[in-house]
Amino acid sequence: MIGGLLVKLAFIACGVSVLAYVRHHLRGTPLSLSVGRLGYITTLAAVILTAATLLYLILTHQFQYTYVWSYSSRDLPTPLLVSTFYAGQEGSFLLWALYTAVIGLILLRHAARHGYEAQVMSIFGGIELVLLLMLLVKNPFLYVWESYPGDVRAGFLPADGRGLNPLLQNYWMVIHPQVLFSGFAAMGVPYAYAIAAMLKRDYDSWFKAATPWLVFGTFVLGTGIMMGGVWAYETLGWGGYWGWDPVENSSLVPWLVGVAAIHTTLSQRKRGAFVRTNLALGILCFILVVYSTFLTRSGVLGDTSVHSFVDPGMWVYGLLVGVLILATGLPAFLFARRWKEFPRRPARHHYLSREFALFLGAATLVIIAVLVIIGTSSPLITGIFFGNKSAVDISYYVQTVMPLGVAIGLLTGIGQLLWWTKSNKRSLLEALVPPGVGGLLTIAVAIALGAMEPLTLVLLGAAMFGLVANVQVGWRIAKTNLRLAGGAIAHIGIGVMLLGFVVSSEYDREQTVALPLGKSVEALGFRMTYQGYHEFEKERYAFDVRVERENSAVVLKPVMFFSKYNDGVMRHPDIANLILRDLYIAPMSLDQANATGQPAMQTRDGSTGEAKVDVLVVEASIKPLINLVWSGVIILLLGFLLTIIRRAPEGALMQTGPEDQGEGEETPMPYEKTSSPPNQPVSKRRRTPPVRAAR
Amino acid sequence: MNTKTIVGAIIILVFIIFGAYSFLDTNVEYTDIAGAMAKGKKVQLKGTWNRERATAFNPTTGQFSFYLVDDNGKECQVILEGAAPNNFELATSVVAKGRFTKEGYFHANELLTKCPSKYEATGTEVMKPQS
Repeated sequence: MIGGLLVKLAFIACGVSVLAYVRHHLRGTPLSLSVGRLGYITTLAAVILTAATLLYLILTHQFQYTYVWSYSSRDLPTPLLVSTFYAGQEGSFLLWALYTAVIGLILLRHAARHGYEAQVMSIFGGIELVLLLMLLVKNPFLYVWESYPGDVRAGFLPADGRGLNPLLQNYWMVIHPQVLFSGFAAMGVPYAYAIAAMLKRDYDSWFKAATPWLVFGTFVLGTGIMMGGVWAYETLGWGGYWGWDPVENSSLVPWLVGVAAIHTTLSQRKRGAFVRTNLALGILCFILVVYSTFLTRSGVLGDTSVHSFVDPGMWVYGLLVGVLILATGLPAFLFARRWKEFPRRPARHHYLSREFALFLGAATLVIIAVLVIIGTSSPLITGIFFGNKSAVDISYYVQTVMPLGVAIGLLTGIGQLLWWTKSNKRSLLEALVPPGVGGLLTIAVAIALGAMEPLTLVLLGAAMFGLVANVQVGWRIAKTNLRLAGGAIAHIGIGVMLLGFVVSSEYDREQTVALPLGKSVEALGFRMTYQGYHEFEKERYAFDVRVERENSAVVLKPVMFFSKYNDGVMRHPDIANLILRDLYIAPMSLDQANATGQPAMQTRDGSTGEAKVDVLVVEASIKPLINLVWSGVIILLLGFLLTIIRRAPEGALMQTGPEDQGEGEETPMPYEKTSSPPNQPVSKRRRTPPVRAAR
Repeated sequence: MNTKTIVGAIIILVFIIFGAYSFLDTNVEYTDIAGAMAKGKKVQLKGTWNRERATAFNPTTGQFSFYLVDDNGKECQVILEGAAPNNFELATSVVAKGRFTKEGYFHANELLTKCPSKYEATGTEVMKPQS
């Protein structure tokens, strides 16, 4: 009861706050600014209390509430019990609303310092308002008798809840959605700033205030995506870390566009170019978050995805469509209105300039994002044009993204070696020697190891090229000032990650192995022995498989159990991490063989005939160099973190106009010895922003 | 028009064509048994599994076999590369991705299951005494 009232209170307060801020923007009355602030603080307090109420209901097992009954049960350990908060649609919207509200408080102060409060908070408050509207429609505080009138009598208290889906009963469930939703919430900030910039007709400084948020949002979203990948790999038993599933894609696409925006805003910071591009990308990041939410939660993907939510009903569908139109329509309208007054600075970029390389890199990222979003939207597109919903095969993503991966690898290298305006061909060629040699050597080694596929080889070479170039650049920068090395480090991460992607997916070997109890079987260069199973938790079984190779041995314990919740068998893999490769054992079934040792065809009704020996069937696979994927992602995220540390102070204070028009570069080029190339200003090692100097 | 614009336009055009081709090429159509037989290429076959007939897993080949009944009531054998997915027993309908072979069975590489009430429950379930 109280929860529902709090949601209503938050919604009203938020509506008042947005209206007051809009009024302040239009009229400039000081009173409306105070009302706006007060309204926002009230919203935040009400949202925090709403979340606290739901958490309290979950922790005290108030199963008369449908949401609590639907996702939790008495036997869950506390961390998982807490995670049932966001196991369903309603709770995950509440989590998103909570993070948006909290970020909004920090944003309020930040925007006020930049003189952007009324505009930014109108938009950001609008986002919160929509999330609260979702909660009014999808109320997590309904009683069971309200949800199922007729079936359940009023006042009925179920003894226990339905429980949490065993697929979600994992420590990743405790942290992954939290990270992902804070990333979604943070992505709303650049969106709010970009629209505010158009409202205020300030096209040259907004992105400096927005950049730390953009980098933060991208960093958090990237962390969330990686966690999802690890979860899929080590627990869900997908056999890989990435399945191009709609839910995964929907967080990848805003991330890609966010990364593209980081690159183009860098160009505006240096040279004042890409005004329109930056506004568009800043807005697009969040629109894509909204669109992804629409795809995965509105039921439009229908039968074509196993992982998206089921049809949530007409109300939610209509609301999501409305939100999508509003979120796109408002900035699109402003963009069109302001089109003529956007400052145009003819891009003077030369082919051999960093500016052009940055542009190409950002364009490549956007193209990848577009290809992925089109693939993910396939059921929607085919449904409209062919009248029959169908999804694209995973091969669509592989064959379209792989050639672009080559471009990414090469551009991360070349871009870092180029000057902002124009590079000297000779010195550039000299600088290209080590990465070029590195790339070619990698291709040669791969061929020597038996790799044949041309595209794979090119991708390997390109990844190594980018890696070597960035190690070269990063080393130079880090020696003088580690804080400036974020970009180089992030690009090293990309190179390492690309190598990991290619090797682990192109050269993995897979074999279905039947392991009779106690009998050793040779497979994939290992000797495997099934030693029997044991119950490690109530009604959950681990199957001990001893894996030997030369002198070392390890016992892997893949898990299978029957889940009453899903009315099906749950399977979890186990992995031996051997540094250079992983041995991945995914259990398939426990069958029985007859006396002749010939495996019998087991029927589902259990009539196995004359069963004699247990046979554990597993899918064993070798994933070479998969550690490169994980370490690459971690290096990439470290690079992001350094960039946040570097940009945060700049974002805290405003500067006007493109800051260093014509400035060469604050980081020395690897081929820069003592003198700068002709026509280049001497590089400045330390830059002091004018405002800070004046303080 | 400078050369950069032309080069850019050509690159974008190439990607549009390449993307559209890949999209149509990899888009696997939903169909029934008759349609899948007629097409002969990779399709998504939709239906329910026949609980009357035995399902079997062959550990030596790693293949799982069951009988699928489509919306028109036609039946065929489906042989899947790999074990049955986690929710197979519960599935109200299944979608098999693959193609028909000359031997007359449907050879699937992937099996998707559509489960009833994956996230939603019913009122009668609330009243059910919990064990």
